[in-house]
Amino acid sequence: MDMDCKQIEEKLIDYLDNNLDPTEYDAITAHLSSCPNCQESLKQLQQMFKEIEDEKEEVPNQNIKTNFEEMLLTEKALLQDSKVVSLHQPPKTYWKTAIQIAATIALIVSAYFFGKQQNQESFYEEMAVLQKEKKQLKQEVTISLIENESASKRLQAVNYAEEFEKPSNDILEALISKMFYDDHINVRLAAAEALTKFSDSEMVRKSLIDALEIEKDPGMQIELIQILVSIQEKRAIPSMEKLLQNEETPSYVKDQVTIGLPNLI
Amino acid sequence: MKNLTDEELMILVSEDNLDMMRILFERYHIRIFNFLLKMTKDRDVSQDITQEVFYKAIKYRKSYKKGKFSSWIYTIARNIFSDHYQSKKNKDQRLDEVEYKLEEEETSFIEKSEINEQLKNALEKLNQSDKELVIMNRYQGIKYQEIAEITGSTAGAVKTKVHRAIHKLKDLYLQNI
Repeated sequence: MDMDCKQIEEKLIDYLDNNLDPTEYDAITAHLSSCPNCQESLKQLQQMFKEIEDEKEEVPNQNIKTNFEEMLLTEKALLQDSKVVSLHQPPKTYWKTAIQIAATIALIVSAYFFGKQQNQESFYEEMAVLQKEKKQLKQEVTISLIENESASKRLQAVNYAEEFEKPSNDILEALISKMFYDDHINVRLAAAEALTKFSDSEMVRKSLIDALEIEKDPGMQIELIQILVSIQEKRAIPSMEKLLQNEETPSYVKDQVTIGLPNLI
Repeated sequence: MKNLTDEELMILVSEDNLDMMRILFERYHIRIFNFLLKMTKDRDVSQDITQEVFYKAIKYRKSYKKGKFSSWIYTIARNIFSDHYQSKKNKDQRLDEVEYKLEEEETSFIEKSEINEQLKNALEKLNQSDKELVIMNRYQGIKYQEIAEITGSTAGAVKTKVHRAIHKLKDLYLQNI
């Protein structure tokens, strides 16, 4: 095979794939018509390509779809769980839940009178169910209130939230988001204070650490430093040291860090 | 929703509309499965990896950056495959298992078509990277440019490598025929 044939052979794949410009294509066609060797090469390639093409696509086992649907369902459920409360909930949700709570109270009251007439046992059972529902609704009301336009309403909601013995993750997330993003320093402060009560939760502890990292307001910084020291959160040390090194940190914030740090180390 | 492009669907998925992944799954799972089956020659493993590909695509949906969806999903498939291959290398027992399965498959194919068997053997004799390039380009019909995106190379380099691999394959194939 001379040099020319070698070059031709390298172009045969493109020739078969129609990847050549017309002049090159014609040149190869011309060469092929007079070169049995290259013709043979072309035929071999063609045969192999045809065989590849003829190969049937395999179909996976049917349970691949069932498994996919199961996985999708799980992921959707997880997504629902972790959904952070929307920052712009329409105020009417608040009224809707308020009406719901009123209805529950009415139910409890009527259940009370109903239960008085019935035997005591079933009365207590029903009462327990209703109490549970009431607690759930109270959480919902708190969450809607927490998004209220009025800062004082939000403050009130934060104080409500503090009263829960075991708040749901939704409540905690709403509080955390208030602590980070509320426009009013008082709401942020109250949210941070409320969260201190729930510092058993790792999510809460992490959020307090993160808050100190990003908070710009000195009053809030002081509050967070005090909280983090009181809950003995050593992971906050780097942020505190950063505050000390930062020239823009007001001296009274630095003082707070200097007082607090020895208690952590 | 069915007439949205892959990319439009994946953007919706990345915005937490997870149901849209179902359409992408319908469009791609057989192709991905066949790619893996050619690479591993093991139906069970290929099926498992294919499932994992779509799981990872959902898990890492936020990392999808508006590129070509098919390149992205193949990149995921290759990563999982190579993880699997790495861990397989460390487990001799599993290797034996794979070889056993290979033999089993070979016999059943000889009955079907001897020529087809020769091609399969030739493909197995290529090194991992050449084999993958041939599978992607000739069996799966993926264009050079896209293979470049998947493997982190350039279209020109991919083309040269694919052509070389095809010629190698042809030589191996003809030796046995």
